[in-house]
Amino acid sequence: MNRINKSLQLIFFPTEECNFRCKYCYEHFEIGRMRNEVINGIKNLIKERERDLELLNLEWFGGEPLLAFDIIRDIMNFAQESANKNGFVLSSGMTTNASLFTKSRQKQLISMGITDYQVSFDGDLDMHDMYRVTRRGTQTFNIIYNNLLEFHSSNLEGNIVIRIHVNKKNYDSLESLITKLSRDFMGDSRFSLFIKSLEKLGGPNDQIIPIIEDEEEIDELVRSLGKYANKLGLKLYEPNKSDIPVCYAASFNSYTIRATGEISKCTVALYDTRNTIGRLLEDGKMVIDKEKFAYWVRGQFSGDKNELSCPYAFKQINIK
Amino acid sequence: MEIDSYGRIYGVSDDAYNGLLEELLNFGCKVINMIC
Repeated sequence: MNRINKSLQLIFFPTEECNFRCKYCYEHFEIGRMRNEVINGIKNLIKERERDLELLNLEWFGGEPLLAFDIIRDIMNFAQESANKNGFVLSSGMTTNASLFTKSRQKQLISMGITDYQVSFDGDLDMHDMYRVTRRGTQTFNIIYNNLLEFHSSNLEGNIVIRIHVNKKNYDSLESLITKLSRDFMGDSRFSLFIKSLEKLGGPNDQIIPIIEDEEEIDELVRSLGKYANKLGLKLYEPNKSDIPVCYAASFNSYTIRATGEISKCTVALYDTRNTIGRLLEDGKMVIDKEKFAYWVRGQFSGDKNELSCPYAFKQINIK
Repeated sequence: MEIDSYGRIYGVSDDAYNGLLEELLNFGCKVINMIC
């Protein structure tokens, strides 16, 4: 068995609906919950691969994944049983807006093995609520923040990466947020801070959101905020320990399963047909277009750092 | 490079740039979407 096949990452969209309407979001929310035949397909795929696996990583994305909590629980329970029976490691994480990440859900999610979370802010209350509103247009900062405080006051064993987006207008607000986070979360090693520039990712408001274009300016602002966070005792998240950051979309053994059963590589280029590389069938078989697949993993053969870090070339990063 | 019906890959080097999954194996779980 080729070593590459001993690990498998599946990124799920249990629903493509979201209860937020963030101003910069690139998703269309036209597809709702994952269909039953897709859920069966996922289980049958795991069943087929379980005997050879050493690691199965399941990532929950969306839409807002917690709108489909029952689907998450169903698949996680199945995967956990498979892991126990076959002896592979099951790891799981979630990218969530955290509005439904309540105390009781936190306990349930951690107990089913979803231990790592990524939650975003776009500033302190004032700025965040300009960019991140609910579907009904109401504010979201306090809902998210209070749920994180609930996690902080628990003894649950998990990790939360707080991702903060830097844009042209929110530096002061981010300093204020970092001060608040330091006051409330300092010393809790389960929390770390990931500072990232806001990007144009294909949403309808891309032309009006205040993106910083200049790479040097971004580096400087991210560095400065990181320094401030460190000074206040917050832990920074370092995403890539390896010399070359490799996107999951460029990895051989990572597949994204959409709510429809379509298989993609990238979780951003959702409406580009190049990214629909196949379909998961109910019996667990994957019908994959090899040419399309090859496009996404071309960096594996060329060794090109940009093709490995972002095969879709949203951004050509300068890797030293 | 070949892919079978269950997404297994054949005919590629074991030294692939395995990115996130390599980190997972070596350092524990990481959440996705850190680059975009």
